[in-house]
Amino acid sequence: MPRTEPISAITPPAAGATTAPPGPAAETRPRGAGFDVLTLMCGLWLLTLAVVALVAPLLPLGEHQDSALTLAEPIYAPPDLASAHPLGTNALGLDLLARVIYGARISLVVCISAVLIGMAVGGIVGITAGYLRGKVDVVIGVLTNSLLAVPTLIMLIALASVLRPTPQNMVIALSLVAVPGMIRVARAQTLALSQREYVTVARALGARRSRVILRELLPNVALAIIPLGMIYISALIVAEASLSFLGIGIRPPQPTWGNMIAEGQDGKMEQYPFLVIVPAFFLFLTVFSFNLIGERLRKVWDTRQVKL
Amino acid sequence: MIKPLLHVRDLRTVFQTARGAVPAVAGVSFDLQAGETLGIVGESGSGKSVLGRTIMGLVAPSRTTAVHGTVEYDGTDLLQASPKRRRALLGAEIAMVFQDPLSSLNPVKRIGIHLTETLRQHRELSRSEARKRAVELLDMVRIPEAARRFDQYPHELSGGMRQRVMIAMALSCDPKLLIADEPTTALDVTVQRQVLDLLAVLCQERKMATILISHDLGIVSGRSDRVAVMYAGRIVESAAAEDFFRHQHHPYPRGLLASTPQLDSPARTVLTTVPGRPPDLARWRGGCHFSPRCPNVQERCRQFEPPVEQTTDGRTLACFHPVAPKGGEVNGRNR
Repeated sequence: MPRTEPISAITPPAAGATTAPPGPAAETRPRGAGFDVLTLMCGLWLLTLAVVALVAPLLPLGEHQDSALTLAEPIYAPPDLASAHPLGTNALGLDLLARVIYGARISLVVCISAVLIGMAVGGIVGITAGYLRGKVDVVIGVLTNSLLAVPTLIMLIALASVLRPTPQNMVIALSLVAVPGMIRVARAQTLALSQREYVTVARALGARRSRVILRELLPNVALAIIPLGMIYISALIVAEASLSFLGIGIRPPQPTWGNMIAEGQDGKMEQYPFLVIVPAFFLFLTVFSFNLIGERLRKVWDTRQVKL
Repeated sequence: MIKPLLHVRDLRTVFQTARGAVPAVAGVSFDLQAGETLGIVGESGSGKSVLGRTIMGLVAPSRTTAVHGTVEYDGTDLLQASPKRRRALLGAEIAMVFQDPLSSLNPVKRIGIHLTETLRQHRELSRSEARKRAVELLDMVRIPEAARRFDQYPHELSGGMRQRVMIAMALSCDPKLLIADEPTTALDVTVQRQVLDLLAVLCQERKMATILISHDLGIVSGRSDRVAVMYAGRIVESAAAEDFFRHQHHPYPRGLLASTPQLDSPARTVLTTVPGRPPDLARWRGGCHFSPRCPNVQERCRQFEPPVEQTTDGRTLACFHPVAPKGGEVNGRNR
């Protein structure tokens, strides 16, 4: 049978095909696995939020906390981008844009520190358990499982009744949520990785135990833990917001996204939906972004492992 | 007689498994002189890799693993040495090249780091000196554009290149003893040859004693001074390479050599094979391990295990009924 068609079949895909699988186009311009517009936007959102939260005191924002200064301001002003209160005001006349940005400060700082502590503690403990095995592993395993056995929210509520609701205490409480998961992942990774030949190679070249852990295992375990940390940040933002919403987290007038949403209780939301929509929108976008970026990071870093 | 560089006596490595004790290495003895190359051949599961790893101390005694015997390197018993003493020897005096270059390099570390870390651990070198030395090493194993490779990650290199990097790592501190555990099994045939030749040249240049472990007699032939054939954890026959390839007394190596495909044999010649499979060591009831597959098997072979004995012509042999060379009796055995 004469074959005339295949010629067109092997021509390179059209220039518009951005997600083309490794074809001629992909070869000429190597790119990370799936860094697309959505990821870029999520990254931009997080970056903007972080920068704005960082420099919040320098920005010309309305009052966010002290209702004594807002006696003259309108209450429940609806969002109007042209006005002095672009996202409206709450029952005390406090500016919602300012509150949502100062809320981001607390939420982000608290959750990111909690995750960093969780990653450091969980990573070290997990690697130790996975590499040493034996009794150490058993003890750590029991402790991890007991922590995991307590439902997150119940544990946080219990802790809240003991600890004063300061940001520092929130960090401690929330890091307790992140630690057991991190231990598990770090331990599982270590178990798999310590069977890899390069660990044997390092030992055959005279490496001591601490060097095997720090130089061979840790960088590889970190690749697994960092994306998980991103996902934990989003989970903890939600957990922190839940506590604030329930009134056992950080208390008003200090704004957090959770206690801002709680202001919509008692029928206020039906009357003034923006009270809830504004913080909820910030919360949603942030959680979504952390999740998506965590997921993408995992994929990108996985390819390096897969290629080997 | 010169004191051997490596002196292995009655080495046993036994793994406790759910199915029973598996003696992966069951009483191996050999001596290796400085600069000598020993080829160890055996099929999968014959214990040759475990032997290599036991010598390196990588098979650590534990609840499920027992190691007995002596491994004496230059007067130091490696099995009894303190971890510190052993670490000082490993990498510096004794090095190992592993089977699988794909998983032997850490994917998150640059090529150069692999080399400089070992160098700086055993030698007092500054960062820049180590880098210079590492590039030299990469050059020595014939890696083109060594300076550029230094900053690349393992996945950016081909399999052959990675194995060269492994060899460079192993040789970085000028070891006196190199254990090459199937160094080319994961590579294709042409690359295999290049890597083996490179290894042979480097060993000769540095007067390095080498243990070359392989499942392929063809790889060992022409590259080793002595050949030892392992079966079920024991060395069933060992001899100087020349003697070994001229004649094999033990029916197993004999079968192995007979089953090597020959290019000049007529087309459609049926390949000779050694029938059967290696024995299940956990369920072994006694007798010669090769007896179920042996063409010359006799009643005695099924009941007793033949001891490893020295023959007068410098071989060791573990067989009750060795195959005589053409037109002659088996050399008298020392009883």
